Amino acid sequence: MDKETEKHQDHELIRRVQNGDMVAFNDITDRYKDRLMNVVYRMLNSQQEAEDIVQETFLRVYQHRQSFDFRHCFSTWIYTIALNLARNELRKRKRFKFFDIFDMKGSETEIAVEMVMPTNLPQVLDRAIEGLPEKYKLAFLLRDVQELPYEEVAKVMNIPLGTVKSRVNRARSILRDKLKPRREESNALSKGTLLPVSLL
Amino acid sequence: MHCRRVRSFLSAYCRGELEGKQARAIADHMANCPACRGEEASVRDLFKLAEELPSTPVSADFNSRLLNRIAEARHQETRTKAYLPKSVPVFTVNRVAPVLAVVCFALAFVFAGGLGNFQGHDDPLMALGEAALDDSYLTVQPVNEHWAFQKQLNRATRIQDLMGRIMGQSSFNSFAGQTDWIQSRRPMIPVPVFIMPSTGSQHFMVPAQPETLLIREVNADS
Repeated sequence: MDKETEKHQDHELIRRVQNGDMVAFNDITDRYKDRLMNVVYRMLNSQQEAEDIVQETFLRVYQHRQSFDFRHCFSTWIYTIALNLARNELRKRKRFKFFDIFDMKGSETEIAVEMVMPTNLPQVLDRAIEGLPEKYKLAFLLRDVQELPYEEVAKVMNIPLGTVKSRVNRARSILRDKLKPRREESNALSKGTLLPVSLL
Repeated sequence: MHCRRVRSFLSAYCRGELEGKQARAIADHMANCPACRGEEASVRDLFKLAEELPSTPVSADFNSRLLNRIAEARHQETRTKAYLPKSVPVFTVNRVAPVLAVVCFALAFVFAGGLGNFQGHDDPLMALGEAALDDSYLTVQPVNEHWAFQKQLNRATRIQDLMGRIMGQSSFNSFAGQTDWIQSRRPMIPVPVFIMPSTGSQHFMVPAQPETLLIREVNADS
């Protein structure tokens, strides 16, 4: 589905929600809940908190449905709400350090075992994305993971278009450098050559 | 193009975000540079991995929990509206000014004693007011004794002479003596004689003090 068609469909749904159609609101929820969850979870690294943020996002969309401006994209609006809520949560965390026990993945032994399996590149990339600075991480997630246009990313992040391109480029460069040793290990293993375990 | 410059545009090239002359220049460089071709492969792998990133779906009851939250928010909103007025009454100048004017007028009327006009004489304030409208005009007011005394004396002398000539009586000489007595005493104001109809006696009103009068009965024979 191209962006223009998706935009028109979103506007039709939100118009119906404004008229009190809860079925249309359910459709909007199904469309955007996983997309928002992907971005918010990678920002917060907590399943529970990410789901709370996404629920709060849809609640606010419903409460302020009458104030939606049809000159803009609905996706821009909903991403902006979700990311603002996620940023607030991150700021709160900086003041009070919370540790979610459910997010601590096993013991050090399990993590070490995970590290010696270089073929699991998507998970390696996932961890690499987690280690990115927030501004690069967000730009990369919105552009290369969610595949939003550069202009929409600029509106959501409220930064100039050139800054978006610069940040996305920088994020790609950092991730490429981090993935390079994993890719070499993966290639060596596929050739049957043993290589020492290297850390990211 | 140099390798360093090419690699800065590699990710945009791989995404198809470059156009025309720039894209052709990079493609030409790639054809002749194995190192840059290796970098291009790593960038394309990165994008492929990004598409394969594990997604984190929401819980199964996400939609139902969301609808419950919306229903609760709407319930709270309607409860609040039931207890609060739709709009707070605004006290504008146009509404307040007439009320203030009436209140000020009423206060001024009260403090000016307006209400006292409609009250009886039992009011102590009114009694005080009434004291100003008393019967003081019925009492003798202190006068300029010197001017009034001389004037009265002259009048009395004239009356005496006239009556003496008419009556030719010596009894009035005693009156003259009394007049002298009157003159030698404290300043008193002899007023015209009046005759009591019942007894026929003559009376002088002679003030013993400037503020008061003594009525002194003078018989014609004394």
